Amino acid sequence: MCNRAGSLIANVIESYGIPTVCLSINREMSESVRAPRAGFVKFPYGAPFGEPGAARQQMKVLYDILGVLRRADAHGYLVDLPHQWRRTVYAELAPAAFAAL
Amino acid sequence: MTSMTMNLGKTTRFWRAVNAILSTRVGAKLSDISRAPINRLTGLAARSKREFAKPWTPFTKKFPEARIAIVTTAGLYVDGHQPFDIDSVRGDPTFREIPTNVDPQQLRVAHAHYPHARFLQDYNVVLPLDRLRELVAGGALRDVSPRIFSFGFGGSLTREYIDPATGTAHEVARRLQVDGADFVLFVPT
Repeated sequence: MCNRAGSLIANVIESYGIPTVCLSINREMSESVRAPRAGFVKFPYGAPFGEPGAARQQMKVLYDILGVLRRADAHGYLVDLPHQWRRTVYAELAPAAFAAL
Repeated sequence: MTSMTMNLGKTTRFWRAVNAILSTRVGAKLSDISRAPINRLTGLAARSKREFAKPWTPFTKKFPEARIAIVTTAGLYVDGHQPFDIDSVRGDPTFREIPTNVDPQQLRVAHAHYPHARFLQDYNVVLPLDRLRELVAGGALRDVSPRIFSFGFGGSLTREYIDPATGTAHEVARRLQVDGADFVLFVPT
């Protein structure tokens, strides 16, 4: 639920010359206090990377959020990531896919 | 161990009660189904007339050459270290360091505002250490920064994080620089 604190902290870290990307599970809060870059997943509190034991899902969330870091072009960039709790089928994602980001 | 202590003065047993409720199956389910209205309410409450700085550092590295660092507000700490203060009304602005090569069995959580069941079942849903290890082994990332930084519940805290002289976020940023982090992935809960 601490997306507000997350935005504040990420902005400070960014000001030290370190790029940041925030996973968000509270879109409204991420809109209220903008982080440099954020990707929203419609997941329950306490599970920002998805379901326990779902390694493919966790990997895909990582892939998508690193994609946000790559694509964001200005402060306040906020996108909805296409994950639906328990309704998305995840394919195996090879590390090579990340290298191509 | 790293923990800055701050006497916030006002404490309440209320969050401890919330924590106890969220630790039950029914409480966790309630948290799941009430997520959307809670998001709306807390999002509105977080609206600020205050203009914050809008820092921007371009990310130009290729991922296989980059060192990723993880910062979270999940209230995580290592067994034996000081837990976060979950009784503080406004939140606990301090942070804890967790070695990236921590034995996951030693991870503990002190955060009264989210259900812990999924994290306790699989730490990767909050701290995807296994996935990051797979990515480094597969050459997708250079490596993972040696320290993970965890904050606790942030509530209405602002100055405690961002004050240039005393803000805890500044201290974490300096430590991330020491660690040579190329970018930070921030994980909320």
